Amino acid sequence: MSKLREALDAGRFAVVAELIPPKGVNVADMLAPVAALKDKIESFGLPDNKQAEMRLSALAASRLVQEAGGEPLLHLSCRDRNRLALQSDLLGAAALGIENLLLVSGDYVTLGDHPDAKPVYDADSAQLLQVARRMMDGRDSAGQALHGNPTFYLGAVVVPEAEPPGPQFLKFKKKVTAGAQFFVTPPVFDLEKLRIFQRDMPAYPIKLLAGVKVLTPAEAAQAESGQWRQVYRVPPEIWERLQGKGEEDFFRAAVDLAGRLLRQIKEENLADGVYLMALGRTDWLTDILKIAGI
Amino acid sequence: MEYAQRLLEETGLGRGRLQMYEIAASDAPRWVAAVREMTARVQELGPNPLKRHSREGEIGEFSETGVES
Amino acid sequence: MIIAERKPFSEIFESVQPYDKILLVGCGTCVAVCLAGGEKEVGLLASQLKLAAGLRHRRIEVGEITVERQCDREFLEPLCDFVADYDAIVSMACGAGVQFLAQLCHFKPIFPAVNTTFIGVNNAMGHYTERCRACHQCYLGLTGGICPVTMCPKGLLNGPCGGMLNGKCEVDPQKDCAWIKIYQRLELEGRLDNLTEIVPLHPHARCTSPGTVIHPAYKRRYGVHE
Repeated sequence: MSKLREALDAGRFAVVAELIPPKGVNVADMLAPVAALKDKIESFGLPDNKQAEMRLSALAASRLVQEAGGEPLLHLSCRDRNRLALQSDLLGAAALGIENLLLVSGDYVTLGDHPDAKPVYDADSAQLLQVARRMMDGRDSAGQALHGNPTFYLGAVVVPEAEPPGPQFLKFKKKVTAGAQFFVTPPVFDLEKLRIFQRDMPAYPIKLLAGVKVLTPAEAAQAESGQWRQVYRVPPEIWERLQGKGEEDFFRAAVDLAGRLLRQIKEENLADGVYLMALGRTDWLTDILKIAGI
Repeated sequence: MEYAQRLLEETGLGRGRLQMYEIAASDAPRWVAAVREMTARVQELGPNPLKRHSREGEIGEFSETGVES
Repeated sequence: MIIAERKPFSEIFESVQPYDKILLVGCGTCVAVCLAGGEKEVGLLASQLKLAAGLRHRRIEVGEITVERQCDREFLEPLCDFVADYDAIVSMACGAGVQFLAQLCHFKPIFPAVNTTFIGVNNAMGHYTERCRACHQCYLGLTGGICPVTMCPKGLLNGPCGGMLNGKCEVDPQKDCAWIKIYQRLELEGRLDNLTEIVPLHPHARCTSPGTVIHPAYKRRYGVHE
């Protein structure tokens, strides 16, 4: 059983830190947090060509994380692979001992750095969850028997701040039915939204990892120019505190903020764990955990 | 009008030789101004480059001043 | 209907550079409606070609003819005699028409004058939008008449995705999220139950190109056995 699953099943507050696969083969920076944090946190998230930016394979990166002593949480996106490749990667991950999976539809190609690439989306996230679940039961998506069944701890994304909420909630239910065991949220800055979500969500047998992120000057600029295009809301008080700071001060304040948000989420029991996005920086991750008292 | 100018531009002839003016039938001064304006512009643009290399009526129906009324 | 856009003039002109006698063939159906390749567009293109050639000190002869449709043999067959007089053909039809014309009038170089874009509708003159991706398994009954394959850029059969923002699509904030529209429509019709079950993976095998459809009444004629 994976450390992540064990911690969540036992009711411990689990921590996953996102790593940044490089656009290239120099993996030292990507792996740096593993050595420092492998005994402190449960798992390391490996995004799959995040935001449609071509990066080193998440599956390969997961193996490198394992070799460095850490436990990976492998993202698998539906954007770049058909059902053959998806299942092939699922089996590959399982054979490598990778259990934690985050199955996502994937950001659209035109949002990334290869806008002319062909989008696949042979499966969507709900269908992929079904496929993974079925593989665990010994069949591939064409109904054929497997020679050795994989074991997975299946995760998916839910957007508590979705507006309108109805359709997103319906999708959430589909994912639970399909077999998702834990969910990760986009970055949370407005805790009230998370409170409402927890309160209104019926008691599904799933675990929730709240996304906590270090804000960047680019996002601040976006907000200021009225071009905010994220699915999460950042309250104006937060922007005020970050305003007018030079880059170094900005990030120090953003890291501090992330730490304090995390502490609050933990203290109020607003989630079962956290998914930390700090540009894969060991120093920031360490600081956030310290401020949060983890 | 703009589309026709665009089509002319695409061919390499340029959009300057075609212009639309809206002139009331009784508005003589406006007519004179338009003719003067267009004449000046066309003189600036120079002779139609196609004239030298075509036989009459071969290329098309574009008159030199291109004024519609 | 099929929507197309006229290719950039420079591209068309470039493709017919080697030829002195060019026949422009227009199509009176889809491309005429979307103002890309009908009789009028043939006339405009012919003028442009002659102008551009003239500017480069060349005289070219441009024939113009428009047929009802280039995707039906009955309208193309009369053209075969015409074509003989020319060095090259420029077809203003969609990709299907160009190919049919190419087939019927062989051994003449043929060039397309439009880029075929999609199956869509005529919202208003000059404004055409995509509606169908010819996916061989129509879901419109399930989704309240809104196509998830076409109207959702990701073609999700179980949407929305996590990128939906205030009812708009992550790919184009000007566009509504198809799945929000589907949800709202089904809600109005009291058919939200349609969205409880997970829609299964789409069968792509039947979409293998090039596709063929034989009408059931003609199966015997074309040797298709049940």
